[in-house]
Amino acid sequence: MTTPIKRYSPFGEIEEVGEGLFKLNVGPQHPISGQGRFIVLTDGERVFDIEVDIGYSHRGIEKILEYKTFVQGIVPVERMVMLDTSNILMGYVGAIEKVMDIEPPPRANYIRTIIMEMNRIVSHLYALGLLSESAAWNPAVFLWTTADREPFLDLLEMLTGARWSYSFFVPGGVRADIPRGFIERLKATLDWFEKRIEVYEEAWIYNELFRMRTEGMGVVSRQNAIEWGLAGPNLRASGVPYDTRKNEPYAAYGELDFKIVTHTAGDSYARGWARVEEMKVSIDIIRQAIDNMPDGPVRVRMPPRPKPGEALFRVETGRGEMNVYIVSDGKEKPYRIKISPASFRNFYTIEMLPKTQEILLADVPVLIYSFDPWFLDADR
Amino acid sequence: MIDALISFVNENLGVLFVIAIFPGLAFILGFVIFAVWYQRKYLARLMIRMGPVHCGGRMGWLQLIADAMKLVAKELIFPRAANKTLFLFASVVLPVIPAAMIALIPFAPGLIIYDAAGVSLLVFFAISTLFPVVSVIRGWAANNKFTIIGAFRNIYLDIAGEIPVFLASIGVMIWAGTYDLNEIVLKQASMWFIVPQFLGFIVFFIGFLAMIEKVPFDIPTAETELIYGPNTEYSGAMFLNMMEADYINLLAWTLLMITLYFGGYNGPPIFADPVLNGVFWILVKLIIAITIIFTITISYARLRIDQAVKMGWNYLLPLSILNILLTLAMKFYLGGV
Amino acid sequence: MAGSEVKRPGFLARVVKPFIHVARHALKSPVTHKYPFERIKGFERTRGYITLNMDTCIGCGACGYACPDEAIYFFPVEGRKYTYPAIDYGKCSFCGLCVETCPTASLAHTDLVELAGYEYEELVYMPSELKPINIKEVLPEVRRFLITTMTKDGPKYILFKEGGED
Repeated sequence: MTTPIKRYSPFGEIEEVGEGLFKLNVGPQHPISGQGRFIVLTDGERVFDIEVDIGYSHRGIEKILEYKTFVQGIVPVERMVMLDTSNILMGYVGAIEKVMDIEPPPRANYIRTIIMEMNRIVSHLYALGLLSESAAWNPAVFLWTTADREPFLDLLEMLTGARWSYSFFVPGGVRADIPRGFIERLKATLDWFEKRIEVYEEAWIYNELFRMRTEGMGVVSRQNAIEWGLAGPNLRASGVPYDTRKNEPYAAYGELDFKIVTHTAGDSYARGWARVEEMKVSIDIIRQAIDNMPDGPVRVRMPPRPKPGEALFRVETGRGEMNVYIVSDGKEKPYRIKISPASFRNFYTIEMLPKTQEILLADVPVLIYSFDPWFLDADR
Repeated sequence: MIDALISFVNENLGVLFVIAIFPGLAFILGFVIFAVWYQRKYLARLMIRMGPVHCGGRMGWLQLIADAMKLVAKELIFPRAANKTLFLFASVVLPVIPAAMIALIPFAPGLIIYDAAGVSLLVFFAISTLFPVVSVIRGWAANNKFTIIGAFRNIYLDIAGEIPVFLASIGVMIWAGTYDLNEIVLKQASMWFIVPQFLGFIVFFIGFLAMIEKVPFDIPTAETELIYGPNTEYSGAMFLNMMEADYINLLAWTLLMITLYFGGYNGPPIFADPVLNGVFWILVKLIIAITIIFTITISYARLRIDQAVKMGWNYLLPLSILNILLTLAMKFYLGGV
Repeated sequence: MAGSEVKRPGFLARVVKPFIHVARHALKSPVTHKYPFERIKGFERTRGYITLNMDTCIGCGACGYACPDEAIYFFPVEGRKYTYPAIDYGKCSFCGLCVETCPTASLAHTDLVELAGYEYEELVYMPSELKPINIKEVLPEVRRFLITTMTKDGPKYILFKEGGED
């Protein structure tokens, strides 16, 4: 194990990085890695380099979408990431509506907002659970958060018919209206969930040992966050008040009043905290949307084929900002759809961090899961 | 020859019973099965779900036997470049070391496997220092990068945890005035030692969590970073050995904690027979202690190894020396026990 | 450098309160249910197994055109006039576009999702096999049916029906 290690520098040359280092394959067969590989260059305790190897779950969704009509395409698109399906579907549907030049009715916008915010709560709960389980080996919080997602999944099943693959947004509106009994159950669930967040705060976020593990670790300064293209709650935890829901409002966000939560610390603790705060903001948004919901139809007629043109649409998914770019040549199937997900850029930050500060091997899981990256998201 | 055998068994029946049945082999293995079942059911309750419910009725008490049978039936896999002798050696010897420590603990007046004339506490600690040595052997023999990192971490953790535990029990030794575990228990008949030795108990408890490698100190077996620490390459019956080593270690150190601080087998006389009474009370205290330890296991996060060593040397060591000074002062002015 | 905006409560709240919160969870009833002995009844809109009403179907093919996974094929059935859809549940993603597009409302969802088979050919359901399936055939051990509700203290299971047919 004492052979000199060579690697390719960012400029393409081969450089020697040291003696006595070895490469750990935190690979596809590892409790924390997900569906990808992290090649960690370490000497036992200190990590010198992390290389992220994606591509294990590439399904070619962008190519598949060229063979489906616009309504048929909602099924492959939302299976891009299992957690955050409706936000991604909003990107696809929004881009198509822009190209076709149709406006969904206001009631559909509010229903879409409610579904997307519920999806955001569910996704952040899962991220919080994974952070606690992987970073600090506390399976209790992981299982509590998984159990607490169930009432929301039941609500979504009551509204849309499925637990995570809703297929509910179509270009022109949503597929059905709110059933009876949904609003009361939603209000009861939100009241109960607010008390649960307090339990999470007291038992986990204020927990001294969790704080010791994550505080001051993996600091991303404001300048670096903008340069490296970080996205989502990670960006807002480094002090940049950027949220697509406020900058380019879509669905009903332009008419609702909510605040963006930022922190200045930029370490893993702030990123975990930012997600908890975002869940509270989501509860606030859902309550406002319920109170202000207008009446009316939920779907407008969609023309079978759009005029030739291009459109770009941005959404804020649970991981960050996602761009969808559609090129249409007048037929009923799109010519090209390009999706630029947020996790792809979050992985780059994981690679850059060992170059700017000292990271220990024990911090690698904390680092990875505080950014909440999903290989499925990055691979499409 | 048969007559000699029968007379040998008849004379030493007591010792054989104590070694093989209680509190010897059968009790230790039975405790391992019970502790794993209890952990799975109790922690499942804390995670608002049920534990094993299918094997053996709603309580699932046959689940562990099914798991053990499955593990024994599986193939023993040896990595090609591993040192086969040491690999097997570590797996076989590791559960034996904590079992030897249990031999010194008094379970009732007169019920002790080995009565080390007057120095049983020192012998306990002496045997416990073998554990990290064999642990490093198991990590190195597997020829795997993850296991060797786990083996190194085991050394660091032992450095962090052992010294506070020894110094805290020196406080108990000074207060009781003896090295013998039997006499320490006898002297707690009126008041448990946790009352005069409260500071020492806190130091002992945190160091004890480091010795049995449970959260927040389960650093060598850090599953999310190093798959399963030094145990990664073990499979089949050797995996069973490793699990046993973990739980027998828990049993040995918990019994020591109960003996030093919680009165050992002393307790209000429910049964007329003193032996039965002692056994009953020590088992009750054991179950309460492991319940609290399991709850702690799940409420906190795991520390990094440098944070653990820093805690052991910066905070626990001065506190334990302070405890010794306080004990000396109390013994001088109050006369001790 | 530290997370300075997040307040740092006192020692007891930091170290002892997590323990108390965890221990209190021992008194809650479990949120899991003993599948396959208990089964949760789906909602009205749950998109599960699709059934076909051959008396109203006119064989127009709209469902086959709408399906994004090409899971619907058409076969003639003896004694009937038109060709009827067969659904390949190996490909179906239960999106419900076929149910929505049908002009005579001949396709309907149920909430059955236990459709596993041993071979791929078993998963293709011919038009005459697309009848409602009794839950006891696919899940013989089920005894109770539950509904989920939300109460003030959290989600609870309510017994819907004990034994019998679903």
